[in-house]
Amino acid sequence: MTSPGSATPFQFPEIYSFPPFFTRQPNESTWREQRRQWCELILAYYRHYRLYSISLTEPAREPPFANRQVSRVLPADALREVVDELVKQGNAVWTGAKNTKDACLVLWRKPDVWASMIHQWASERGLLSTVLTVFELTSGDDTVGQEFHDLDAATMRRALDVLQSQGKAQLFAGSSDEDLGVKLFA
Amino acid sequence: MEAVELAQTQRPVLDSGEKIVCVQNRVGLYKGDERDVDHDSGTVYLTTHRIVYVDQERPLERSVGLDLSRVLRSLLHSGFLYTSSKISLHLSAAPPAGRKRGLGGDGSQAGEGSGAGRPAHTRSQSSASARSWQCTICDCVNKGGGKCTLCGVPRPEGAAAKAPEVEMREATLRCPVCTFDNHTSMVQCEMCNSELWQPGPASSGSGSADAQAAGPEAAGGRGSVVKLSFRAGGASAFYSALREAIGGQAWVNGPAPALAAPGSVASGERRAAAAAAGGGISTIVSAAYESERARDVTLRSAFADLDALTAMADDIVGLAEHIAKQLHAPAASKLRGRGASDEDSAARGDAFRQYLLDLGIDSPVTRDTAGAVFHEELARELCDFLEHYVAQCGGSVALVDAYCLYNRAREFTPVYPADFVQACQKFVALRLPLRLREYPSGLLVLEDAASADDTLVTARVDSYIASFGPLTAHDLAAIEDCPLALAEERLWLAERAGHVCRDEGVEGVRFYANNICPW
Repeated sequence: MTSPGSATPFQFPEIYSFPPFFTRQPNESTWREQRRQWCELILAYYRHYRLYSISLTEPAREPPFANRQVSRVLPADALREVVDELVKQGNAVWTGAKNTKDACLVLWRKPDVWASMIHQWASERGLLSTVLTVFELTSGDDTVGQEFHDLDAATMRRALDVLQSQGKAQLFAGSSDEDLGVKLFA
Repeated sequence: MEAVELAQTQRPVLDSGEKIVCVQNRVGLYKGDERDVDHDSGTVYLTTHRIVYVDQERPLERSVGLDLSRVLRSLLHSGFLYTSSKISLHLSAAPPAGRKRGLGGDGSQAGEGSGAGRPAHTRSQSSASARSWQCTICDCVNKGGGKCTLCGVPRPEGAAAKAPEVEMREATLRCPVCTFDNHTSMVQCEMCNSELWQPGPASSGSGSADAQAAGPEAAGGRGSVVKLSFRAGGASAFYSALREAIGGQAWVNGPAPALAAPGSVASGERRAAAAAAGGGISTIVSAAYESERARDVTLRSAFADLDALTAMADDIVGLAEHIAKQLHAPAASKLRGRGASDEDSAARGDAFRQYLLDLGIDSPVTRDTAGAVFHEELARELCDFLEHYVAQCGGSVALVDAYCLYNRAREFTPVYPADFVQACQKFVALRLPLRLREYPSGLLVLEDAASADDTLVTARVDSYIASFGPLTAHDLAAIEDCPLALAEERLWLAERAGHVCRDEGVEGVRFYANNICPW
């Protein structure tokens, strides 16, 4: 299991240093494969460094969207298509202003997986039917060592939404997102 | 008529100095009055020397030719209702001496001369059809032919077997004017007093007239009649061209006047000079000088003005061929290698020869000569001309390049681009070895049907990338020595096939082997 802010550098796949990888291929079947490889790379990279968001408002300069060794950058249009694919798979959602597609939340683990993880932790700790704050879940001492410790607030909210829709949780709105309260049921 | 030699594109092979004057498609042949089932539909070429019939269905086996020198008389019968226009040709029996192409003994294809290689049933069928038969409608007894001469009803199947063997073998001599059947001893027609057509001395007896009545193939010593039936029109144009060609008597001047001309100008003096010098190196040198001077005169007078060049095009083309032949001979290239090294001059000789060959198309197809089959004929000529060039250029050539080259060779009768493209589009239908291809970008390219396979092109691109690394279109154009546009198309082709992928960098598009999605 990778701890947050892992010190070991991410191992890029071989294709990352192949210049045509950063050009959107006109051949449809080549592009499908290329897009699949990009999706894989983004999810792996984001999971490794526990990152959550992509901003497309300005050209990307950082890995994994740019490679300084071969001085290539994935153009924003191609990146949008890649994120569209991630959204279709359920591994990302567009956030930000409507229809602009300039920001997205990467869900390298799907919300229902987070949800069951949280529920399992709570039932093991005997915290069911107890009101907890979201702050307690992400930053509390009890969750240190759990995978969802330090989880991004937006992602956590999506996981809790899943639990609520399953009837396993009830949310209590607070003054801010941090103050959001949740009560988990069996 | 004898079999003719056809080029790969199914056009007749022309002698030097021979030119195609007129072309007409959908023409059928008749021997005498009988339809020739073996030569029922084809394209007829009128050249300055010959009439060549190229069969549509089986061009290689059934094509025949006929020398114009054998034509004694020609008549045009205009069509009426369902009858198509016909031209009948009265032929002399024996081929005139001195012609290179020997003729069969007879005007009909079933004749003894050319019948050797033909299947036996053809001959038996034709002799059966020559036997008399009785019409089922009017009881008229006919001699041969497919229709009753009296009522026009087609001959029923097996009529010959049923008909009584009443051979109408009376010796008759048909009047060419009123068609009355005269007795063979008559000199003038009994009906109209016109001259009866006199048979040759060999056939003055009554037996030969009888033989002709029985069937044309037996008329050994006598002239015969061949008819051309123009089912798609064009008879009158063909007829006038034919009259002109016969009047021109191009065959009388010898097969290659162009080659003789430059030499013969000075041949008299040269021989005298040679005699005076008494042979040796000086004679050779002076002979070379003389012929050079003669050439010089030809060239100067030819380029004096364009009209003159048109008139002398024959000479110039002949000269070009002649020089090309000389250059081809290794001895000549050694003689010429005085200043430069041998290889150098050989290379230059090659280039020069290529220019000379590019110069001449002997008898270009034009709208006037080809009429309705203009585009088909143009396609065939194009193929003859360009096939070698396309093969040399690695199997494909941009259409524009081909057009320029071809028009330069045509000299005074350039073709319109639209006609050129239309002709190229006929390659597939005519089963010619070239193809016109339009790439998705709109680039038109002429390709060799055999080597223009996409898989071959992509395989070539693959091998280049394997040995030279990633390629730009420029690189490929340099490697293959082809136009940039074509190089781009080839790379795109390989990309569409999924063999390569592109990298769009600041310095342009570069193509890599497809590591993303290995095929």
